[in-house]
Amino acid sequence: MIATVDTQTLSIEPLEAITSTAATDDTLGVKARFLSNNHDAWQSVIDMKLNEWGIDPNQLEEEELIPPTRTAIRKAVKLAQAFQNDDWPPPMRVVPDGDGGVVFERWSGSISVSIEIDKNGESEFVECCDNKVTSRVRIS
Amino acid sequence: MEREPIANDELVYRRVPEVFYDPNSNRPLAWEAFRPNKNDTDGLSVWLSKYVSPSDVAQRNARFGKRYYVLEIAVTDLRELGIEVISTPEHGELGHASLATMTYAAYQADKNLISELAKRITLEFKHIIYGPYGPLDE
Repeated sequence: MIATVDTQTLSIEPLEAITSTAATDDTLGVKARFLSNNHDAWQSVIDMKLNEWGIDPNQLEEEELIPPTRTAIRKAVKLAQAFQNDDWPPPMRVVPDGDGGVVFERWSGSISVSIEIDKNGESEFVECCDNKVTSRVRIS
Repeated sequence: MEREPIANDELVYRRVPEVFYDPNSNRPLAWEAFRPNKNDTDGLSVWLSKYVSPSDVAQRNARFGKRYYVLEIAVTDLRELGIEVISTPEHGELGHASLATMTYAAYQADKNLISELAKRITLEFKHIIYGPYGPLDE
C-alpha cells in the first residue's frame, strides 16, 4: 500500500515555493538534471538510488555510516511514489542519514525542507530557515 | 596515550564518505556527514592536523573500492558554535579527537539542536576540502 501523506498538516508551501530551482540545482546526476518533469525525476530517485541501495545496502557501509535498513528503503520508495503521484518537486539530494535511514532534501536560499525516514521506517517532514529547525512533523 | 589539550588555533580533519559530497551541487556537503549515529557514543571522530595528513585520514580503515573527501575545520570555529573538541587518542591512534557535543545520545535527546549544529558546520564554515582519495584498488 502506498503511504498516505496528509498534505494539510505538512505546510508544503516552502516546498512548492522552491520548485523553480529544480532544473539547475538537482544533484542526482546529469540524467536527472535533464529530466523533463517531476514524475521522471522521482522515478530516477527510485531507480538510480533507492532500488540500487535496496539491492545491496551494505555497499554504503562505512566507519562513519550505518547503511539504510531495508525497512527504511521500502518506506522511502513508498513515499517517493506518493510524492511522484502528487507531482511534488523532486529532491535535490537523497542521502543515507548515517544511522540506517534515508533523507530527501530540497533547498533554496535560507530555506530547506527534508523528509527524514529513520531506520524503523518512521518519517518526518522537517523545515529549516537559516539552519534553524522551524517545523518537524511526523508523516503518517 | 594521554589526552592532550587542543588549542583554538589548531585544525582538525573529518573524513567524509563520497555519498555525502557532491562537487556539482551548490551545497556540496550534506549535513548528514555530521549526524551522529549509534556508534558515536563519545562524539564524532576527527583528527588533529598536526599529526596526520588528509591522505592519512582518508586511508584509515578505508573500504575497498570507496572514495573519500577530507574536510579541514578550524577548532575555533567549532568552539564558537559551542561544540566541545577534545583529544581522544584512546579511540584510535595519535591525533584522534572527538567532537564531544555531537554524540548519539545528544542527538536522541534533541534532534533539532544537533542537526542545526551539523547544518551550521556544513553550510556556514569556510572549509577546505581535500580529495577525493581512492578507491584503494586504483
